[in-house]
Amino acid sequence: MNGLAIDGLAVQRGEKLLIGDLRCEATPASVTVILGPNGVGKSTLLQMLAGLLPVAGGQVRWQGRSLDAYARRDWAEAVSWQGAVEYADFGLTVAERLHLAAGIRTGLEADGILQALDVAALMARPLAQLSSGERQRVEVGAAMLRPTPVLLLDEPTAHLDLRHQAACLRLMRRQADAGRVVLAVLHDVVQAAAVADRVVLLYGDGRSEAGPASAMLAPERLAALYGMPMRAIEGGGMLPDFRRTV
Amino acid sequence: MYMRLARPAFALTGLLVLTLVLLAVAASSGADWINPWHPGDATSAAIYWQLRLPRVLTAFAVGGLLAVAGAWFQVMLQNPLAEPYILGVAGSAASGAVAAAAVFPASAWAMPAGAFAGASLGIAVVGLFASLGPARLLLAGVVLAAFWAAVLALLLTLLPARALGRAFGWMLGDIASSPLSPTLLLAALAVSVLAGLWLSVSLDRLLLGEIQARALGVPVRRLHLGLLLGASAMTAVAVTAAGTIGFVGLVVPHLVRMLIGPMHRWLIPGAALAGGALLVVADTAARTVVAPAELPVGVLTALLGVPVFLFLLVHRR
Amino acid sequence: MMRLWLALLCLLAWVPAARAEARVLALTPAACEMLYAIGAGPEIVGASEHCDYPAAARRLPRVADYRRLFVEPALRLKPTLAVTGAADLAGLASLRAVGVRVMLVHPASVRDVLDAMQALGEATGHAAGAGRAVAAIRRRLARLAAAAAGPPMPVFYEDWSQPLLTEGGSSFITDALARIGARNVFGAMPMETLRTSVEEVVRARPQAIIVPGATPAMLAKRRAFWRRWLPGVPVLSVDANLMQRPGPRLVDGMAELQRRLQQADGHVHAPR
Repeated sequence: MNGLAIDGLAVQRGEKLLIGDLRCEATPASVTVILGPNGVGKSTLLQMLAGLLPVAGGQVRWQGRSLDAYARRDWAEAVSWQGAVEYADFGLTVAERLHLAAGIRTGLEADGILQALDVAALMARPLAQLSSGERQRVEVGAAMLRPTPVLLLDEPTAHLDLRHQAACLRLMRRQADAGRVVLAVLHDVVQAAAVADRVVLLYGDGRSEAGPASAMLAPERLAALYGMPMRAIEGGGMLPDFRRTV
Repeated sequence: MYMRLARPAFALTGLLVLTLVLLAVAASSGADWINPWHPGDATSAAIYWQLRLPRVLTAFAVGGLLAVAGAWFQVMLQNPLAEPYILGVAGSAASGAVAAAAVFPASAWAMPAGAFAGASLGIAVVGLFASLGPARLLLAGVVLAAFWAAVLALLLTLLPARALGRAFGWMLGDIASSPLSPTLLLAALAVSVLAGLWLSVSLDRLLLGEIQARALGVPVRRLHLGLLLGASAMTAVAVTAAGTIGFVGLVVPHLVRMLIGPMHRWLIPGAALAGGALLVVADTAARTVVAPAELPVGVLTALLGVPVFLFLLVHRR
Repeated sequence: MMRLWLALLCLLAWVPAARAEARVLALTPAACEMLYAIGAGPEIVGASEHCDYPAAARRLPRVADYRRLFVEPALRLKPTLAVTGAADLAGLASLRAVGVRVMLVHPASVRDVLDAMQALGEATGHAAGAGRAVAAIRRRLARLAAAAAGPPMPVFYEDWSQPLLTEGGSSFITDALARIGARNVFGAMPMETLRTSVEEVVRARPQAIIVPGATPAMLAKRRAFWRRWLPGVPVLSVDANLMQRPGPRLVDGMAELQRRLQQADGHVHAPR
């Protein structure tokens, strides 16, 4: 099969089994969104897929080959990973950071990404002087600029204002349309509804469900997932119904 | 924090030219000015070619080695305050030198040989903790440095007074008595710079932090070990040659980053040149300011280095 | 009459008491030698580890090394006077705290050495003995001065080779050299010891190089080294135990050195 196949993967934290026997597929030209409350192992899952942590429990296959069969460097060439990281201030500028991620990329597509994220204006600024939102956009941009078949995003819209959140979602869609396999952890169900083809639900007690977005983003499922009543909104999507809880 | 003052290639070329000029001026400087092409008499020629030039080249190589080692330690430990002695190699080298001076008080080679042995032991001990990762390795190194300082203090109490003066003199830095030839030291510097250039892409990625570097395919653990051993070896060579000279390894990488940025393909050669130049200036001052007496060069690097470092600190935005 | 007897009794008690009271710690080898030379040998109750002359000194209890005093053994000897060369010797404060008098003997010239011997004489009740010893040394110094004919010979005094260390103007060695007809080429520098370089020594153009306390092997090495830079300049040694100790045997070291310098120079002078 042509894509990322997760077959029986497990995530354990100490004694607790967070994810047990996860099975799902992410095909090229699709966006798969991973949803779940805090602490259920979403970031850990993504890091396993990125090769930053050893895969536990089962197997992950890319284009039919198990991840174990790939050399570390080869897999790093196939995957772009964006996550929240801290690094010491050595005076890197935005331009240098992007260069490190993706080499010197010019061309319409690269410019398009940088424009969409409003990063083009920040190129000469040192990373240490950026706000958290600006930093986030640079990180997302860095991941998207890398010409890899797989794109893994860990809460790409965190710290961003609404306009940039929308831009980020648009870019995710465009990246998928260009043929990439896009897997993203999102916190916001409405955003998931806007961009996902497939959805993975992680309940945190070992259970998981995966399937088409329309099926997964049902009120009962999401209410069970988040432990909160949900209500549908116009135009599709689900919102937590705080009024029924207060 | 850093304002780029120039395009890297121009800045590096400028630095190279400046350094060459500095080397020439320093070699000619002294109690009297000697022009190597018209020395005046055989003694002046001998002084220039056999005393001053080797000394200037030694200072350049030692300064370069310390600066490059400092840059490697800073990126490896993810800490801009790291410097070559931070993991205790200077303390173990000094302990080795003092122990050797106590056991072989009449030998002039005892201290450098002891320094090398001590440095190697210090590196081996730190290497045991290499797998801890940057933050904890740093902590382990600081604690080890304190340990070696205690060992050194213990050894110093056992030394007779005359040898004590020599021990302190060695620890404060002495370029003139280097047991290693300038050729050897320059070769070591060249190897270090080439290795740094070869690793420059990986080092740059390491600037993004360990996780990001791994995500980009850098074999971080192997790289850490290589950097640790390589930088420690550079430090050991520098300390064996000239004693424990401070501040060059800490301040010079920052100065160069200010000038041409943190990308290692510019930073490594820049640090080698700037570190070498700084130590040549310090050593020349050490032997001319109170002539015919000499100051220990380590004193001057501290006196020059501290104001520069504080200036940088204050201007950090 | 009674008062006369009383006074006589007090006098008799005082004289041995003055002697019995002086319990001296000799904390440097030079101090040790000075005390023996002035006749205060019996008053020494404790000495530094490095006191080795005269032979009797080797039997003294050890209470100090170059860096510090061994406080407890020192205090148990109930000293009344401690003679030291270094004011910062660790442990001196403990002596002062119990009322021990601490004398600092750090001569910067030959005359300081003689003055120190006289002062020690007065402190230990051996003023007469000190006077005699000092007079004898003065006579020998006069002979050395007479034998020092002609302009002073510039010399370089090499304390150590790596780094190159020498004595400066504040050192008694510079004065000692001056009194035997030599001139320390770095004698104008206002410090006691200083670091210098081969280049500076060459510039100073010494006519002899003195390496104190050199073994034959070391001396050969230094000769080979200096031959490159100062060919024809003799390299001599001198007994460090004589020359480096600012005490009664300094004049012996000076005499030995003068003889060797004059031999090397080709002049032979018989002291008058």
